[in-house]
Amino acid sequence: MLSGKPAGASLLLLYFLLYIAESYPNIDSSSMGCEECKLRLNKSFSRDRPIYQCMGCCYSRAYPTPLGSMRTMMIPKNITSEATCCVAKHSYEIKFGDITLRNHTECHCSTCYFHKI
Amino acid sequence: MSIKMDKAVFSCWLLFLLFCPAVPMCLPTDFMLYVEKPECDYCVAINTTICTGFCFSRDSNMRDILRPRFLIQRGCTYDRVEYRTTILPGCPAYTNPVFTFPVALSCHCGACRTDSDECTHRASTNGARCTKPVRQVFPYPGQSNYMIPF
Repeated sequence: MLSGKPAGASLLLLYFLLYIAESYPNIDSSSMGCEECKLRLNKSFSRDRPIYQCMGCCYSRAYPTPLGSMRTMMIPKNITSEATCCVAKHSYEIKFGDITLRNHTECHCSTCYFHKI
Repeated sequence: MSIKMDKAVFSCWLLFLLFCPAVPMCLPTDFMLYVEKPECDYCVAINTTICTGFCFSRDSNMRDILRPRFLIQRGCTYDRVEYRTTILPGCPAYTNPVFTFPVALSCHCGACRTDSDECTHRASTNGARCTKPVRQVFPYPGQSNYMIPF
């Protein structure tokens, strides 16, 4: 009976902390829970008018290359990596001083072009 | 004494919740790999572990000017990998029945290494399909680079 009370308190604290974690905005989610890919305000450029930037989490996976696919490769690779990245679906040009920026208006998970090394 | 133990357990829980992600991200996941060679009688189903999940990425407002700078693009990929070997059943003696496959020990969100990995957006076929009878292989736990007899 005495051990039941701390267990109940632990559960209550667990629910409370999960609620707090889910309500945290604008945190680099690489080491924490993952927020969806969406528009967020770019505070560095948002002075006269709001500049939005696409950021968030997208699905990806890496798995052993199927045997059939490996036979068609010029250089066979044991592992296939499928990745999608949060990028702007629509944007428009906007002037920020002498610099031309792109203000993002819609985001989606699509092809990653700069994730290879 | 029991109250002190309960407090210690409580503190551990608190630290665990603060430093661990609330939502699972890029993690090792069970996966059934289907291997079929034209010269063999069976399609072999091998239970392995792959990396799947969600990774953070960020587009840049200055991509036209600065290209990949300030871009964050990562994929869920293998961190530590172990290669295991199995013998495919029903293969003629003149063929090589040995098949080696990767097993994910840990995963991370990182760049795709073009020297070892095939980096794609989405594979053209959604998994291998068997045209022959399926036989399953169960790898021994804790075994690495061992010949797994079918």
